[in-house]
Amino acid sequence: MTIKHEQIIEIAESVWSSFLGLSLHEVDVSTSTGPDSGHDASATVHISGSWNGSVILSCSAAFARRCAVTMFQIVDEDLDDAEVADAFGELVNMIGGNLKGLLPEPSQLSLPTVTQGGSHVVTIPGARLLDQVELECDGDRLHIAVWLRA
Amino acid sequence: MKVLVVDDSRVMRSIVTRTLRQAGYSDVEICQAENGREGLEVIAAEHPDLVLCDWNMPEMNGIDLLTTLRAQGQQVAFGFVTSEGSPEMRDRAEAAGALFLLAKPFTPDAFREALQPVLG
Repeated sequence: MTIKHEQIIEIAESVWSSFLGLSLHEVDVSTSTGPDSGHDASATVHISGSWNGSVILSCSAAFARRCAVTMFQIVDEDLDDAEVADAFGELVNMIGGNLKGLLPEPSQLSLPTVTQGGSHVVTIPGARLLDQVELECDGDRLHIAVWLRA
Repeated sequence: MKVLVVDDSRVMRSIVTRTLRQAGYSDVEICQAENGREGLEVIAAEHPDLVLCDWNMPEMNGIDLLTTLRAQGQQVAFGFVTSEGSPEMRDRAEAAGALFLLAKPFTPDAFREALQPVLG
């Protein structure tokens, strides 16, 4: 059993639609800044057990902030970095949790890790990129990478 | 009626509270806890009618909170609100005494359907 490309998109669309009231649509991943290029915000969860891998959500700092403002329903000026991390971490937690439900049991989902700033690159040593999707939301981009650990 | 929302994410506690209101439970009193251990303390102090609890949390997770409550003889109505809704977890939740498991992302309609037997 593995994760289908369409399932990643469906889960992300469902999360963004339900909790942010925003529509996502897939764009050509070749136009992405991609997993090897820097992003300003990333959130990661790991799945371990019968299936081992990671899910990484990446985007610009501005889009992460926009998502957090919408989820908290507060004005941008009142939002701090910890709240952006909380919201972005919860987004990857939902995507990772729903993907985990498609995978063989038993397995465990880690708590999310969030990195902000500095055009950083997240790598998972010993793992290979299983699939990636690039989604667009009103001009903002969201990248989702699924890594499989050998 | 009083509902305790247990989740390590502040934004998720906020969303759960908002969704409760959208589901029609506008007069329900809400109290909050950041993890299972804090949840135990709040339940003892506040005596909620219902606990809405995340599964995956630091300090003490949701299933350990529920198991501890039942071992203490505490029969407060308990439901999970979690990003993971696998058959195995649903079975574990039911066996431990949970009334329902709502998977994130959820809707006000899903809340209403799950909570109606408890909150009316």
